[in-house]
Amino acid sequence: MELTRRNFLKYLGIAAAAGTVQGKIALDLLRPVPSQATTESNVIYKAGVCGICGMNCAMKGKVVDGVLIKLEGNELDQQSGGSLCAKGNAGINILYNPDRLKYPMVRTNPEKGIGVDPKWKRISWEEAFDLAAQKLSEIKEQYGGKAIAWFGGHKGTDFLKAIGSPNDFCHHSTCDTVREVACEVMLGTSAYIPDFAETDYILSFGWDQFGKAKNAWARLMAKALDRGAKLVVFDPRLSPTASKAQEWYPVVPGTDHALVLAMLNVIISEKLYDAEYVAKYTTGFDKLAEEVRKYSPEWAAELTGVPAADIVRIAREFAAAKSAVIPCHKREAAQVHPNGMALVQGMIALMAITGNFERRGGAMFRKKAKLNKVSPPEEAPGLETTIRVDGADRLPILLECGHAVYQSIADAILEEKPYPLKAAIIYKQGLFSMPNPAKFVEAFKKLFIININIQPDEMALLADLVLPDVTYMESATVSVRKYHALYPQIAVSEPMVKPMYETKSRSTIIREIAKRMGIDQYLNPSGSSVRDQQLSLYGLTQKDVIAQGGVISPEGTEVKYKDLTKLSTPSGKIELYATRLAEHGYNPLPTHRDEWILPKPKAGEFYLVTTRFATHRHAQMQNYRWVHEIYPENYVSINKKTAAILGIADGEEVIVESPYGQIKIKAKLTEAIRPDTVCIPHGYGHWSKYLSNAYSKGANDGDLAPARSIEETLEMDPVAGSNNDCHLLVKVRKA
Amino acid sequence: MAAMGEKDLASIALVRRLYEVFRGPDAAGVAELCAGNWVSDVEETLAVLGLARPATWHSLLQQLGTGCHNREQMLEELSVEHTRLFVNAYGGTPAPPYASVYLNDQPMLGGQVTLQVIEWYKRAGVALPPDYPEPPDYLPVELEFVIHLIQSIPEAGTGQAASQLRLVQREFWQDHFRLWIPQFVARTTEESQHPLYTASAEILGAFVQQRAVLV
Amino acid sequence: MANKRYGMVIDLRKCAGCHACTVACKAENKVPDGIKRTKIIEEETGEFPNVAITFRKHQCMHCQDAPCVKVCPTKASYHTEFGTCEVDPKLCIGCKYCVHACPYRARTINPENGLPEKCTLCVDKLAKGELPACATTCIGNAITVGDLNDPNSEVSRAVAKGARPLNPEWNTKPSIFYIWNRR
Repeated sequence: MELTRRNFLKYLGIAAAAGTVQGKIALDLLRPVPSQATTESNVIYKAGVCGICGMNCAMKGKVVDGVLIKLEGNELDQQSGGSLCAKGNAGINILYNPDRLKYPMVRTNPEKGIGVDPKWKRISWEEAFDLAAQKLSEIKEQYGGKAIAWFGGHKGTDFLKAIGSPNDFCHHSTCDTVREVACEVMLGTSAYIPDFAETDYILSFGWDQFGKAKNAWARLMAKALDRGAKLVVFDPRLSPTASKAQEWYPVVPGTDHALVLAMLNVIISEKLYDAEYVAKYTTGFDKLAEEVRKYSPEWAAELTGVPAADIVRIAREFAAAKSAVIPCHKREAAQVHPNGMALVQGMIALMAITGNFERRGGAMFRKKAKLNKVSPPEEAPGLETTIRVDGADRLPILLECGHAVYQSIADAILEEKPYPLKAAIIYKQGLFSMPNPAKFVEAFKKLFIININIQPDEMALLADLVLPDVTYMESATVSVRKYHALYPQIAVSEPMVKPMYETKSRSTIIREIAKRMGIDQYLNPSGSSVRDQQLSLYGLTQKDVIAQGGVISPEGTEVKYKDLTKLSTPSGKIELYATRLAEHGYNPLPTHRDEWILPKPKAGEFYLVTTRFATHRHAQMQNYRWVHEIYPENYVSINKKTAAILGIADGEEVIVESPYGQIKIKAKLTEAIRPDTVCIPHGYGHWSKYLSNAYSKGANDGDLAPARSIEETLEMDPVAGSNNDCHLLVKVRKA
Repeated sequence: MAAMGEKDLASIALVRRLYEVFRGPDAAGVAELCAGNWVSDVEETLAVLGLARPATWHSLLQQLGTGCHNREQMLEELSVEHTRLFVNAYGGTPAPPYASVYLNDQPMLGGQVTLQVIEWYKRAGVALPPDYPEPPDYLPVELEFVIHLIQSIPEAGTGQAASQLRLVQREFWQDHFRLWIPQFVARTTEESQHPLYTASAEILGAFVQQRAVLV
Repeated sequence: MANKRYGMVIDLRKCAGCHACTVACKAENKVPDGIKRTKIIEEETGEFPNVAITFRKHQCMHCQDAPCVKVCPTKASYHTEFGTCEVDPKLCIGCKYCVHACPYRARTINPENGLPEKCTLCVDKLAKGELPACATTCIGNAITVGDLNDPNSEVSRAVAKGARPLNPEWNTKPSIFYIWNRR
């Protein structure tokens, strides 16, 4: 057959005559550029901000021809100090993970549940936005805006206001609300910074951010130890932090508060406190002194297993130290047992009466940088109701701190109390962040779920509509980081690479949905010009900050002290007797409650503590290849001698059972833990078959945790709403 | 200027037809399938190239015969299967359409393989538009690059430009394309539950095997 | 000028066992899947409650009297101008003699190409006056790198103050020194 008569020429859109071809075949994607005989790689460094943990270290990305090769810390940043932890170094693993969510998808299988394939179908963004808007509008119409919730990081607060819903959910009641609330009522701020670099004395009550590689804190604690600072750790297991301590006390889990109460007793009764500082900067000292009189070192020794003489000596050393600090972050002794509120109140009081707030080497207030405020073009019409599905409206101080009662949401959805929830937008909140996830799965079956996510994790599997998010390496941000803000600092990031596939940022996604619902005028403006406007407070643009190295310190790098008579507490001072707690009818002083002490474990029973590997952030990094190689699965640590009694060998599978669930997990035998306690690193046991590295590896300690109802929560922690995940005993037996 | 021969043109047409399949289904694509244009172009180009129709060809024709009665459902089925095979699948995506996944020392996109592909594109005088969202080693992009090389080499004549293009073509095919496509094809044919993807993968495999010897 | 002998002093008192070095090395050196050129070994000693844990970074010790260099039949294993141990992939025949000869078990065979994988002390970075990736990223600032033949270098001063190599009795003259944990 002659070429001229070939049909496929028509398809190619070209004509052939007399053996020659007329025309050129157009390409859809590739564009002509001047060709280069030899090519030189175009290497540039881009300014970034790590998005893995809340420390948000400033960093630099080495980009070759548009491909991100390596991430490094930015040495201008007081948080990263030029370093990145294993997690930060592994960030590229999520950017380039083939498992990543790439396009909007809908489930075509209506059945939802553990082990159920959603049978996804790729759809266009137009279809995705239309579907989301249509569903949410229908629900709003029929059940009210309050039937729609947002899960995750308060990133949808403006959207919720626009639809009138109070149901703004975050995970903090399983994390750090005890610290936040205690700090709020006593200090008028939600946290303080341990000034490790200059400190002489560190007390840790289960605090292990050194072992979790929280960048600035690990680096500066190492510096403190190098300088010869004393470190005393109370922890049922020999954590990495404890492994560096001069003294380690394997305290009975859930009793740490007794130690601080007794130390307060010693310091006050022996008049070792800084009377001038107390008079000038604190209120309620006499009431505190009265309360702690009953907590003798002998009493504490009985509860905690720490000898009374050591409690007395450590109290004296702490008071005598030139500077001393008790770091507190999250999910340490404080958050997981019901006496935790007393523990944090006691820690703050200890530092306050020894004059260690706003003292070099003590506890510093966060000096967060300011930015120009942005607000929506129009004010939202207001909430339909203040009654929340999670019941947080019944915990006024928690609510003022901006947090939710995370654990109670499952029961509330299942029982449709106080009213039915019908839809949720879930952003950056994995199912494994939820205690007792099986209960949450049942609850989520009742909702229309829009999941904005990067990885195809369990939450994506439960979603009706999956919308692919950009990573922090593909987006720009202006970030005032507060974790270790000894002085105000702002970091700016630019996209290191352009967003891959069809991923879009959360703000773009929400704006598009809101537009279709006719409510986008109520959203906070976003985008590059808004970020520049935020920075214009300093007469700078993002470009300027990047030109200055990505990080600016608008007030210099000198640490300035806060006036401790001008705090945001009602008295303006540190409130040892927290009047805000008293106002709400709560106990304003650190107080021991006997009924919240766990019974002593019988044979085969154990206290449970949980931890996290330094290489993994919670349950979100198990699928990152480089850190997966280091810790592919988790285990339960059991004391060697106890294991011998139970006939459990190292590496053998065991069943760990709590009143709320059970898991099968490998045993790791160790001497570095109390004989009556087991420890499980969190984040494993993923059952999403879409996660090629993480699927089916290890087990989820969350399966052992309760998801307490609002009533149960109010009984146990009416102030901070903590779930008290580890307030239970587990049984361990051979599998 | 040397003109493209019949086989070159047939190769381009075939690769473009495969490109349409791997890029993902849409209503226009289904219309082309149901009108018979896709099938007749592929059959004709295979004949010109001396390649056999794949084993699954008959079942594809049958499927189209019945499936085209309900084009909407066919589009739905193709979309779900395309998503499962190439985007995100329960139990692991069988055949991610990115070269780096197969060739990098680390099972990730990006890295050396992507950089190498970018370099070949540069040397061959093409680039992706800055706002194009897929990575440079995405199968549809590489298929277009194959078309670009087939078309531009005769165009470039006999000078230095032409020998550079031929060198790029040889490197791209020998060090890259012929190495990962068979793996991609094997995974696709093994897992595919729709004859359009099985047949297209088989044809791609046969085409690459034949042409790899020539370039 | 005396020959260079680049080495490392790792202060185990400051090591959190966080693996930042392990991962930074993977990124910097494009280390293949499943292989680590540097890793953290967790060593537990004693009995509860008198128990201690030491995290130790383990890697090629860049021995000056290196068994791997001695046994290499093709001279593919050699010392660079920085005094580091290096493998020339063009000369290596993949015989694995070095893998077995290394008393520190610091070499692994890359299954892809059959060649040994190990720490190079990021010698290409040293040549540019930069630090190895692990030292740059270490969040405890536990890793110091420098010329052990320069008595004024920080590493030489640390060695003078008592930093010791692992198993000095093997007499391979390692260039990696440790300051051991106090507990």
